[in-house]
Amino acid sequence: MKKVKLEVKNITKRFGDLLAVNNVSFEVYEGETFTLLGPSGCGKTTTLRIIAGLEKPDKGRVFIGGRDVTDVPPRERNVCLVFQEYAVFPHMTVYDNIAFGLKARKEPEELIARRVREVAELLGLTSVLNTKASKVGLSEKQRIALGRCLVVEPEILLLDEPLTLADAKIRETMRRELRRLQRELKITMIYVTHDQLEAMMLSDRIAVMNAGRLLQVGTPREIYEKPKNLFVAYFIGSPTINLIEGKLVRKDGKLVLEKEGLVLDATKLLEEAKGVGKIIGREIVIGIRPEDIQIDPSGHGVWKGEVELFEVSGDQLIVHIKLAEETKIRAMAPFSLRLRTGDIVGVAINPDKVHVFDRKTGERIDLLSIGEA
Amino acid sequence: MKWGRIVVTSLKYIIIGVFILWVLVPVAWIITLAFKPYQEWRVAYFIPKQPTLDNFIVLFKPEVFTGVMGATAIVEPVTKPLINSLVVSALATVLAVIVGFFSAYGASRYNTPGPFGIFFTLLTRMLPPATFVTPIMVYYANLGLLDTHLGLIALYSSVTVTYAIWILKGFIDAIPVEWEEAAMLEGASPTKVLFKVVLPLVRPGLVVAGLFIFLLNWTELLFALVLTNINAVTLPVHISKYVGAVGQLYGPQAALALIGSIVPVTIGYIIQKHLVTGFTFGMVRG
Ligand SMILES: Nc1ncnc2c1ncn2[C@@H]1O[C@H](COP(=O)(O)OP(=O)(O)O)[C@@H](O)[C@H]1O
Ligand SMILES: [Mg+2]
Repeated sequence: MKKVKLEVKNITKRFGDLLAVNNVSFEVYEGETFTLLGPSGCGKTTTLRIIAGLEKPDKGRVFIGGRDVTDVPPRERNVCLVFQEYAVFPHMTVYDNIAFGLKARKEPEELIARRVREVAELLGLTSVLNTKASKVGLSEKQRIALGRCLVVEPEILLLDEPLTLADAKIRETMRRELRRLQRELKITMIYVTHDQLEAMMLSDRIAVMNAGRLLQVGTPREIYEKPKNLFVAYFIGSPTINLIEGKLVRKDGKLVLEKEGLVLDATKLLEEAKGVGKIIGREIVIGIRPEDIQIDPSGHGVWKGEVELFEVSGDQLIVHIKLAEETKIRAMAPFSLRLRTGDIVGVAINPDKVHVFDRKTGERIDLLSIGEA
Repeated sequence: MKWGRIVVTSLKYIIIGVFILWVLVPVAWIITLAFKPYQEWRVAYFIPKQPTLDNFIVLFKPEVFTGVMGATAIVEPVTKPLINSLVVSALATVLAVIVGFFSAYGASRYNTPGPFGIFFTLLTRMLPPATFVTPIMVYYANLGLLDTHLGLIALYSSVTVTYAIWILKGFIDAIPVEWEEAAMLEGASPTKVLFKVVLPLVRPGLVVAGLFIFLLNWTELLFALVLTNINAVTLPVHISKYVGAVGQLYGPQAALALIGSIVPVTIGYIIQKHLVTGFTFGMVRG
């Protein structure tokens, strides 16, 4: 049984008229990396600051290790926060920056020296320990900020978009480093980011937020494979998921998606799914990830369409295919696939990989569970 | 095209030249006047024909020159006013900067005493000081503070504290709150945060505010003129004594002005480095 390290219960925070955090609850287990993921302004930082005690929630409670800390001042919570704009004091040396927390706690000199050296070693800062902190580069600053927190051995380490200031190369190394550190030190870590790829790479579990609300909590796989609503489906994955909306009706023995006179045959996609009968006649949105679509140059598959455009994404191609006027989908294809714009290709889709959402509420419709009900 | 540029350039230099003359001529006049003998005080050339140090000597030993410079009475030696000015200006400055720092911190971080409170500290500076002088004199007479160092220090620091607040608030605002929060989360008490994080970072601000306020105190005339008599007379008051009832001692007056400017110029020179970082405000993000 996993031990709950942090519990956030129904926290709500307003800034004037703005509801920054809206009734958010979640649990974080000991030793895991838990990520708050969401677009800018969705309330991630505010949630983190409430956990740290820097902000007081209007409603709700925060428990750390079972203890209600809602009214406990920040410095008695034993959590540490690595701020987005690194808190590194320019008037001190790197050593003094890292040692700051231990000195503030009046730890003995030898212990401070030993801990600072350990942490510096861990973060590759040994060579700059005696440099003024204003003289080191961004990537060092980033590691100093992290070191300042590691040295005080907090129960929970909070990180607020610590990589946004770094450039792409450093970001990648730091991501790997963070993961390694977390494994090595077995710290409970709450990580905030707006970058879904980063969240997928770093996290044991992810909480997706939007507009102050918590939409879904789950492992990266769960969030990717079973997004609970349209927002999560759209936010996770790159390139973004294909969404086709319309009313599902049965016509001439076929299942078709109808929208403003356009008709798309969905028989092969949905016919076999259990419980499909329950959604006939409803306005739905079908979501298919580009990487779940195979292009068949010979024209076989669920649908046929015309190749409109290519984009290069890493070692893959993103192919834009026009199924009908106003209905276009994107599919991933290997570089080796010889395609030209104007080609008519078939698209093959595994029916298991099709997501269905209610168009009005945006909620996921699980065909299986409906079938069983 | 080319002619236009020449005209613009020469115009620029003419304006700069006029401005420099405007600033420097009075200073040059004072400097040369300080070294001119009595006979040359009223002549219209700069360089003294017979340079002398008499003007300086008379400041400290007035009895030696009785009657020589057309004086009808003795002006007391400058030693005491000089010491008074140093003591009063320095202590009042330190007091204003200390009080100002804590007020500015409260104003910047906790928004106390509300949005208008800070603004109101400027109130004493919005009316001509002459408005305050009479009530303060009456007040001081009752408190027994007339002609005392304490009286001047209290008044100077309370009048200038508003500058300290405004200058330092700018510096404190420039320190990211997150830095203080980080220190707090790492276990520092509020006092530690204040002294280990905020204070070192606003040091250039303290220097700027201190210098500015010291100069104000050092040159203040009106309050000192009204509130002091014998015991706590300051340099500006003393300077004004050389022209008036005793005669027109322009030479010693210029000499004393020169001496009076040594202190601020020296301080300014010593702390130049801080001034640069202070005025550019660029230090914090390092
Ligand atoms: N101190 C504050 N005062 C007023 N509004 C704030 C404050 N802090 C955050 N907000 C607002 O609350 C919302 C959520 O902010 P934040 O938690 O910083 O989002 P995120 O970190 O996800 O980008 C934003 O709209 C932001 O403008
Ligand atoms: Mg944020």
